[in-house]
Amino acid sequence: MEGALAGLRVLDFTWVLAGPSSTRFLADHGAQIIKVEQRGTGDRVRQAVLADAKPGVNRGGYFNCINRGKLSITLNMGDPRAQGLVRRLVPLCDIVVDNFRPGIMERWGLDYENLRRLRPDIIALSLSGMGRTGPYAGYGSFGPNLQALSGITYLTGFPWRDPVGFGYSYSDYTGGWAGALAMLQALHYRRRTGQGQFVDLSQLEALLPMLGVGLMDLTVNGRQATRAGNRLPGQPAAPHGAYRCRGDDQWCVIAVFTPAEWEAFCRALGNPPWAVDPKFASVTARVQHQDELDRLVEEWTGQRTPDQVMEHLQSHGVAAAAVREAPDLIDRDPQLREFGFWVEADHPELGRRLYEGMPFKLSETPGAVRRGSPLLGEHNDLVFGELLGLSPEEIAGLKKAEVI
Amino acid sequence: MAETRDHPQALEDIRVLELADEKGLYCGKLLADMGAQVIKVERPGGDPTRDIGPFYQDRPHRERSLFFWHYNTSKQDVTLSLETPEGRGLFRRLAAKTDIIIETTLPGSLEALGLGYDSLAADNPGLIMTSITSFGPQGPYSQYKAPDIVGVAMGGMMTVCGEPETPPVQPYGGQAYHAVSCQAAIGALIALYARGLTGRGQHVQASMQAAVAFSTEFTNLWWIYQKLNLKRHGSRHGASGPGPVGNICHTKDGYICIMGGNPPLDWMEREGLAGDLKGHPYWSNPALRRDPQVSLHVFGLTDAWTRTHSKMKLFHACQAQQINWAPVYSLEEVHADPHIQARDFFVEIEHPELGARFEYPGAPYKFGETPWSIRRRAPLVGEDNSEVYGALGLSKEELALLAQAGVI
Repeated sequence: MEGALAGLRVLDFTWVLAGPSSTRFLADHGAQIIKVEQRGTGDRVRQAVLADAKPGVNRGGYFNCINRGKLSITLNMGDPRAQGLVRRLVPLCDIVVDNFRPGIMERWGLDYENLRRLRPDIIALSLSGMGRTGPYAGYGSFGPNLQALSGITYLTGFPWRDPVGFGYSYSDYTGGWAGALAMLQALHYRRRTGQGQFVDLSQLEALLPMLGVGLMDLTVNGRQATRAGNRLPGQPAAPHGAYRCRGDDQWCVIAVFTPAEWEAFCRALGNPPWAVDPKFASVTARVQHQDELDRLVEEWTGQRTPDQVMEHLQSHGVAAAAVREAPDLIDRDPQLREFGFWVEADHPELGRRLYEGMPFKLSETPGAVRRGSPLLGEHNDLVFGELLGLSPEEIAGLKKAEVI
Repeated sequence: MAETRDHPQALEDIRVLELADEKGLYCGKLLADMGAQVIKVERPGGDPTRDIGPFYQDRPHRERSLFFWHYNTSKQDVTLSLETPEGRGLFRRLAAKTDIIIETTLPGSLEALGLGYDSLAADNPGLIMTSITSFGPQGPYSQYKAPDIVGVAMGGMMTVCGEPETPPVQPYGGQAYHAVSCQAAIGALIALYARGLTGRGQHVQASMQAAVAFSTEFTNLWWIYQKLNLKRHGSRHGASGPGPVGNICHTKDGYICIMGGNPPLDWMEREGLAGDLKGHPYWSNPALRRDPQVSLHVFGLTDAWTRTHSKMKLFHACQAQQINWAPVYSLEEVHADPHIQARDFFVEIEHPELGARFEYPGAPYKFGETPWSIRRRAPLVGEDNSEVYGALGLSKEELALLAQAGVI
């Protein structure tokens, strides 16, 4: 069969990453995603990570990755005629999703109450940074700011250094996962009852349960979590961390939890004399002497590549891995290759390119990167012509009037 | 323990069987808190995830793990040994009445027990089996041990977290587990949608490594499109490519994240701390943003100024000028924050056997018609054996025998 979601249509006002990453899941599985972009400029990330470093609104590798398989229409949303076109599109759509601050969709007459008048069973998802209500509802946010507010920045890093957090917008993904879940769950409810609904998604709140154990240690035990580097709060393990390997800035990770794993670890290292030192005899003793243990472990890993450490320790039943870098993952990792993770697809301007494929496989409806991302406004004729039934003359007039 | 449900829930018609370790617990929680009847299958005596701390009042006990509490809200619980033929028979009978199975066993092990997808689907063609593995169903690493740190390392998240001066750092909180749990839940719900059209279930196979590799924003793309290997670069954002300065400045009382807007130069100037930043070419010339010396200069002046203010003052005053800075909160500050409080994020859940109520992290989304809710606290070991096995027609006497035989 076609993609699992074939026949589903989404009017997608989202841009940058959080919203687009949520509709990417739906696009990969066959839903028609009509991406509404501001006429002229389009999604603000259209020129991020330019292919071959050449400028152009259709040359962004970032946009291409996140928006593959979607359609693009352009609208000058400040123009009432553009808003009128959207009002004609809404009845043809199952879902309307935006990631604006509160107030923008209202200004265009596209708040949930109005959308519902246009299509009674519409599912509307607002995927904002802070949510629709509350004192910060109007505040702007980017991923790193939300991560800062969530506590995850404060808690990621080494205790003797300033907080470091993520080197990217992780919360856009967590918000995107929650967004996809919200749409799919609302669809399930609509299938059963015929009813649509509005979902207010705060990306901050989508991230907070992912610090849930620390939050509960606070609310239940009154304990304040602190940065622990690569050591595990609440779960004794040692060694547990990243260790330098042979080569230029090469790293592996090792995690030893149980007595059996410790014994296996010692065996794998050829039972070095220090392994029988009483200060490493139990996990509590090892946690206490972790700095010294880590130095000894690193003497061993330092003579090996990350893959050698991983393969050798895992063959002894010890959790270990290479710290994979992008070139490792894309060009070499045999496991991602086995999973069929990297796939190729065609883009009208960039040609055949490599994409992150499906992160999960469905046996009957596998999903696919059907094509690259849309050119800016590529589907104006399709959507306004074939879908809305405007004549070529009307469309030409709207283009001339800079409405689309 | 009785459940509370005073409103319709989106997944209330769905039955889920969960056979999961850390990789799949959040997947089950996501569905359970949205109304699905999730029956958690644990080994007799309880799963090892009950031994993960911290513990209530720091007293380790299988019913006091805050880790287990958080990830198992709204679930029911049965004990079952799949090592025994009777246990496998019961599992098969439960699976016959199940919409979605979430399982995290090592690839091949359920098949070896005769409980693989093909076998279970033969009795229940609508079954959606969601297998969450560390590396996928087969391949050279498929039998590897993979706690969270292995997942974030092998998926490419860890290489871009941390500072050049330190080892790569594992993000706080078990994020490889969350990545695969969320994406597996998305896969299961896509399969559920398809089942609504075809009546047939399918096998969803999620890989923790792939789930993480799907969620690292810039690193894969810089390599694919420009052959640039972006590695850990402190708090700097991947969009900027490599460079010496990050997004976190010091304040009088902590830190502020300065992503998302140029500093308020007029304000800095009024306080005599703008240096030469007003009218500096840095703001208009994108190339200068990659110049290490210039960016260190700009960052240094900004940081020297933010050190003279509190993070909350900077937060609100900058937001008022459309500068999207935000404070770096501790969890205590998260919990006390007026916005998070105003949105009633935290919810109180009763633990009747402890005679206490505790605050839990709340909804990841607010549904208008079918709200998220925790219907009850995490289950006790085997708490629902009588109800669930009773519904299969087993008598109290039979259950007692099965318990003595180590089956449940």
